[in-house]
This record gives sequence, C-alpha cells and structure tokens, in this order.
Amino acid sequence: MFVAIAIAILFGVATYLICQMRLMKKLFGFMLLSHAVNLFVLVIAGSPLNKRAPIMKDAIVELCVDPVPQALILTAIVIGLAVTSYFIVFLYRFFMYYHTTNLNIIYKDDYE
Amino acid sequence: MITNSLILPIIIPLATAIISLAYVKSPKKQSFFTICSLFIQLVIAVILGVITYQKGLLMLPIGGWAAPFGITLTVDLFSIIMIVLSSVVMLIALLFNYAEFIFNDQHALKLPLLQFLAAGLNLAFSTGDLFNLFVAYEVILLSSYSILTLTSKDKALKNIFPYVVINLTGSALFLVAAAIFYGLTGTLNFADIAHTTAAMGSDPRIIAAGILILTVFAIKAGFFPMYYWLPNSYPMLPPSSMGFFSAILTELGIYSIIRFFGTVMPAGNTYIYQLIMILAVPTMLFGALGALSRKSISKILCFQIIGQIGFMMVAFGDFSQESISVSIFYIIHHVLVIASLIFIAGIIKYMIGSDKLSVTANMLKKSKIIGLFFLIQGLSLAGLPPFSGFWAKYLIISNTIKNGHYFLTGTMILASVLTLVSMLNIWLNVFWKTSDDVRFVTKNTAIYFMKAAISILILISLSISIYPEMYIKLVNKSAKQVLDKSGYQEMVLGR
Repeated sequence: MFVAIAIAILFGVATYLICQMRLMKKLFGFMLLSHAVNLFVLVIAGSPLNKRAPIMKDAIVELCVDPVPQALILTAIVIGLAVTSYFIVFLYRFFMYYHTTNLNIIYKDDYE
Repeated sequence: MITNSLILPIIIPLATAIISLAYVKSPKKQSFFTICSLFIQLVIAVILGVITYQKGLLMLPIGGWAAPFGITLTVDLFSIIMIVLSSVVMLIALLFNYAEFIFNDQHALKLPLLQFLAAGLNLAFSTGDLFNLFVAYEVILLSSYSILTLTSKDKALKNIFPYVVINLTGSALFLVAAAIFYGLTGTLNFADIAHTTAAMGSDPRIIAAGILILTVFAIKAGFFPMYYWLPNSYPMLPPSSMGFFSAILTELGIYSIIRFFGTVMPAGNTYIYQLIMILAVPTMLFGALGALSRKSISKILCFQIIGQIGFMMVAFGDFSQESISVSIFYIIHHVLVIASLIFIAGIIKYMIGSDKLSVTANMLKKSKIIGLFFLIQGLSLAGLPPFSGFWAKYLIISNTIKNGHYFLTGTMILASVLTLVSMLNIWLNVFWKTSDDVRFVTKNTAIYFMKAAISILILISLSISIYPEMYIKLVNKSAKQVLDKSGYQEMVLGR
C-alpha cells in the first residue's frame, strides 16, 4: 500500500518535472521516472506463486521472492544508466550552444 | 543447425560494429568492410527467408533454456521479410554513404552505430520475448540518438531534442507495460503470454496493458497525436542515414503492433482495433496536409512517411487475415519507395547544395535519369498505376470497401490526391522550373555511384508493379502465420 503511494508520488513528480521548460528539471524528471518504473516492476510482479521462474517448487514458495523482476530491474538499471549518461552529454552540448537551460528561450523562434 | 543460424542476423552486425571500430582512422576501409559484411547479412537473410517459406516458423531457445524460462528467437515469414527489407535498405544506404565521402567528411562512429542499429532491429524483428523486445528497442533508440546527435550540427539539436524526450518517455512506458504483462500472466514469453491470456478472455486489465503498449509502438511509428518529432528530427540526418531511418524505424512500430496484437494478445479486442482505425484518419490527413505546407524536399517526404503510416493503420480495423496481408504488402511497397525517394532527394541536395524548393531548379535539364527515378517513385507513392503504390492502395481500398468503412475509403482517396499534389509540387519546383542562378556541383563519379545504388531499389520496386501476384502470395502466407496463434504456441511451448 505504502509502496503504491510512493510509486504514485514518484510518477507524479517525474511527470511534473518532465513538463517543465528547464533542461535540468527534465533530466531529473527522467531519472525519477526510471526509479518509479523500476519500483513499479518490483511491486506489480507480486508473489512468485504460479509464475514461471524455474528455480522453485511450490512447497517453499512462501520463503522466496520472484527472481525474474529483479533480473528485469537490473537490466533496466543498466540501460537507464546508459540512456541517462547519453542524455547528460546531449544536454551539455545543448547548453554549450545556447548558453541557457531555459527551453522557452531556445524555442522562442518557433513560437512566433 | 538451421535454427542455430537464427542468431546470425543479430551476431554479424554486432561483430561488424565492434571490428569496424578498429578502422576509425581509415573511414574508406571501414566503409568497405561494413558493405562486405552487409552483403553476407543479406545473403543469410535471404537464405533464412527461403527456409522459412518452405518450413514455416523457426524457433531457437537461446542457451538451450526451454521456452517459458529462457529467451526464444522466433522467425516466421513476416519477421524475415522485415529483416530482408532492412538489410536491403541498409546495404543501399551504405553504398550511398560510400559515395558521400566525396562530398563531406563523416563521423567515424557513424557506421559502427548503424551496425548496432541493424543488430537491434534484427533482434526486434526476431525476438519472441516481451522484455527482449524492450532491450532491442533500447539498443535501437540509443544508437539512433547517437547517430542523430553525432552527425548533426549544433543548431539542429533543438530539432532532435523532442525525438529524444518522447522516446525516453516511450521506453519508460514500455517497461511499465511489460511489468503489467508479467504481473498478469507470470511470464514474458510471447507464446506463453498468448497461452495464458487466451483463458482470461476480455479482462479489462489486459486491454489496459494492451493500450499502454500500443502507445509505445504508436510513438515509434508516428501515429496522429505522437508524430510531431518525426518531421523535425529526421531531415537533420545526412541523406544516407535518413533513408534508412525513415524506411525501417517507423515500420518497426507497425511490425510490433501486428506481431503483438496478432500473435500475442487474445483476439477480439475490438476497442483497440477501432481506436487504431480512427487514429488512421487524422494521421493520413495531417501527414498529407503537412507535406503541402513544407518548403524543402526532405521535410515533405518526412510528412509523407506519416501519411503513409496512416494507410497501414487502416488495415488493422478488423485484424482479419486479409487486412494484415494487405498491410504487410503496403509495408514492403512503402519501405522501397520512401527509401529511394529520400536517396533521390539526397542526390538533389548534393548536386544543388540545398533541397529548398525556392533554390532548386533545372534538374530535368541536368539529369534525365534522376527525373525518371523521381517520376516512377513519386507516382508510386501517390498510388498511380502501373507502379507498386497502385497495387498497395488498390488492395487497401478494396479491403475497406469490403468491410464497409466507406468514410475511410473517402479519406484515403483524398489523402492520395493530396500526396499527388505534393509530389507534383516537388516536380514543378525542382525538375521543370528554370532558373539561371542554380550552379550544379559536378562530381560525376559519386553521382553515378549514387544513381546505381538507387536503381537497385527502383528495380525491386518495379518488380512489385510488374508481378504483384508473387508478393501477394508471400504476404498472404505470412499473414496466415502471424495470426496462427495455436501453431505458434505449439512450436514454441511444445504443447
């Protein structure tokens, strides 16, 4: 229950930050979004009962956690690291060209 | 032995990318090496295609882990059609790229990244596992981000930024959707998901997860509300990569929708099908109208991609075997036509120095062959007989009439007319207009090389228009395979 509320808050904050017109806020928004998604994967996978993880028999299932979502999250974290580092370099290049982090200024010509 | 070779379309581009990193100092050698590897990839893809045509579905459990536990690669006719198409377009793009060396320097990492992109695409086309599909999407997206940012100038960054942002959001949503499917069914294997969800019937949670994953694929394909990034970011690429991106990467979204909703999701999700069909109307119209509003060839063609995606979506309306086969036929036609049109636009850009319609002129006087190429493919895009577009549009329109969607039929004809107008717009401004200000860059060897590369695509495209029965037979068979859920499960799960 509390985890679900925490995930909801994380998703909400991430969405709010992504919608801001500042580069840094967008970056933090995406970092939070990946955390929110990882936590979501862990929670929604639920009990390992009736799942297809090969290492367990039904008798000891109460003592186990499901290994599959952990493997998924590990992969997602690695991918998220690569994407985030790419995004930081992209934003750095963006910033060095325009000398501002305000997207309203960068896209000013497009509005007119 | 045969099933083991399913890994080759993924391994060879990866190995090529890593080896060609050793040649970053000598780009010509790197290019030559990559082109040779592409030939091998194409031959392997065609051989696999022939085997798949004769034997049906091929399956490889990676590492020997049986189906629901490990990752499986499943290649059926539709997958192999996409792999062959992507190898053909990639080969032409690399040949074109080889000629581009004469005009400008290129980033040394571009070719390795294109090979990583090809590996990711082949993985996405042949995987039988939802999470593996997510990984393939990430490989594709990361290499495409890198190609976009490495090859473009600083002032183009603000056009690429929306592409990066919307796709980052899309991959987060993909992971959420995959997690929901795992929570619901306890598995990520396509066949096992299909097996489990078939018993759940029309559970609303399945529909919700389906719509979530549809959103992800729709972002990739450029459906109506999510197409904004496409016509802004793709024209920033050099013509060779742009041809590949616009031909294959948008089709990846369509492929994933057909594969996921045809093979995996339980049949009868009428809401989702109708949603796709309704979205097709604005996609076609906005694509065609956007093309009329743009003032340079590559931007017009990028809007045309969106308009043509709308035509493929129409066929999803009832997800019957006929509709799917028509849609696959349209994909084959569209990939060949749009890639060759963008390469032609690339030649014009290199010869005149710009592809703005206000600058270009005199092209027909300078080169009759490019005029002929553009005429064939432009009319094919608009759907005039006897070119391949006519057959594709004829099949789609007769399919909608048969299903009684007359409104869609009218929209499609309107969109085709608008496409024809935008093609004529290019024709008038580039080929027929005369002006004294245009100076052509004369580097004949490179231009000949580019023309020769494009003529391969145009020959394949003409083979559709001359002999469509062969392709219709092929797509009918592949559509039957895509929708054969029980055969797929029996092959993968062995029950």
